[in-house]
Amino acid sequence: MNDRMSSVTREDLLVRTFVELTDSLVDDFDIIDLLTALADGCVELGLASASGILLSDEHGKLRVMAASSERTRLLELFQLQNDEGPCLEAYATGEAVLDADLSAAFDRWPRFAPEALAAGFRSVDALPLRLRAAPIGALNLFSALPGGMSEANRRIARAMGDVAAIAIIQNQMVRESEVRARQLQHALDSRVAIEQAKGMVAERLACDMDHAFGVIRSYARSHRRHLTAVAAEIIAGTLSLEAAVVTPPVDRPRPPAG
Amino acid sequence: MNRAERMSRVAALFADGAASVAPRSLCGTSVAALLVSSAGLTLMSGDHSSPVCASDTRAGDLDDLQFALGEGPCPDAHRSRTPIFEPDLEGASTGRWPQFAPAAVDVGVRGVFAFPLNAGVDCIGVLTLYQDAAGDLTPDQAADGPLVAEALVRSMLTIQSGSGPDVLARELIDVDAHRAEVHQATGMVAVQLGIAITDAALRLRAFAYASGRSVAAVARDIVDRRVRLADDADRDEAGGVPFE
Repeated sequence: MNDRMSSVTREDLLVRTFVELTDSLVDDFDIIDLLTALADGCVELGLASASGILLSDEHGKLRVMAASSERTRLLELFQLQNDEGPCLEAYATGEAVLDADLSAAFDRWPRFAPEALAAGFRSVDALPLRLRAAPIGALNLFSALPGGMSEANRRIARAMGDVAAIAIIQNQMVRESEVRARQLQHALDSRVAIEQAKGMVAERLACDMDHAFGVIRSYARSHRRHLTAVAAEIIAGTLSLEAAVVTPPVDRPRPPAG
Repeated sequence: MNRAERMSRVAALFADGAASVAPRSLCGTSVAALLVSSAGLTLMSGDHSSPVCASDTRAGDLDDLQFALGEGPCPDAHRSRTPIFEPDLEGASTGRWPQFAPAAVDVGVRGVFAFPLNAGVDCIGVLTLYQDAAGDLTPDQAADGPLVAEALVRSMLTIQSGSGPDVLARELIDVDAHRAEVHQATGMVAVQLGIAITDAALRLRAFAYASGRSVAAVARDIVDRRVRLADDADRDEAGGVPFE
């Protein structure tokens, strides 16, 4: 079908696809949206009859992140590849699996090959997605025709895979940095809250800051609570200072005025 | 210089030797990267701020003053999440900081330039640059400022990642800035006046301003119980009475 497409149309489509993909990388982007657009693009550009992007989770299990179609049968083919199949091989070895003829692959993939054939596909490709040297997943391309991709199409498919890898890495970096930024701000809020709660307890008990901190800490420990949570409740007034004081500091005279 | 060259130059400065692990040198490195008179780095979250470092005591004092007054380029940059430039504090456009601007001019600062430290949707702090001479940033400085801000975000997040989720990394706390006493005093004032903590913070600032002293100095007196804030009925003209 792609051979009959006029070259101008195809070039236009190619340019448009890559411009859209790279544009969406610049600003905030939804990774699933982008990977779905990429999977769709592989089909629209005539690289495959169906495509999907699989990523490994933290346990090394491959998960479908995006697919050109939500057909149950296709999704099952992706799923199956946690046990055997081109994506598992591409992910495990870091090498592309190219032009695998499904009718000749019954020994290689005893479950995957017949299932894929039954779903109407004749050949399959899997390109590894890498973060530097480390594999993070694979781009899976199914073709209803035997014989696989032309060299030109394969180069395009690799470029699509590179865009996917860049998007995934970029997304991970932004997410990690946001998580860390929140933790940093939480830590700052926490520190401020504890100091303020110390001041409140110190004023109420007429004790020094060290003793006030000890009071808050022993309350937190005896109630198995976090210091920050106890401090926040003291400040909000939901935990009365009296309740926080398990044993009033009778032996602590008020420090002399300066 | 193109953007890639700028980025690699800034990255090299910040990864160079101790800057990536020694938070105290982050301001010095920023000054070296941007060729400005001095710089202050403040960590921020909502209404809270905490100084990380300053390249000299003047920058530290001016960062502190902005916190005490609640006005200046640093709070503005944090609120707007965009850079705030004021090339001439003596110029006509400084009505926005009626207290901060003259105080900064008094200590020899003419230009202030604040860059927000944005990490995704969050703004975790501000880098404030202080210039002795009036005038816009050069094109190089203006182009490199945001890159330095990005490098600072990376450095600060890396430093914090070595600490627990609830615990501010020790290296990010400027022990010389006495902010702990300000927060402690705020808690004491809240109890003294029976008011909410946010109101107590405002009362502490107002009291310091009315008595012509720094928030840090007043906070220390409150914590040491030399001063306490009484309620409105029995306060003296500065709003406080000596602790008995």
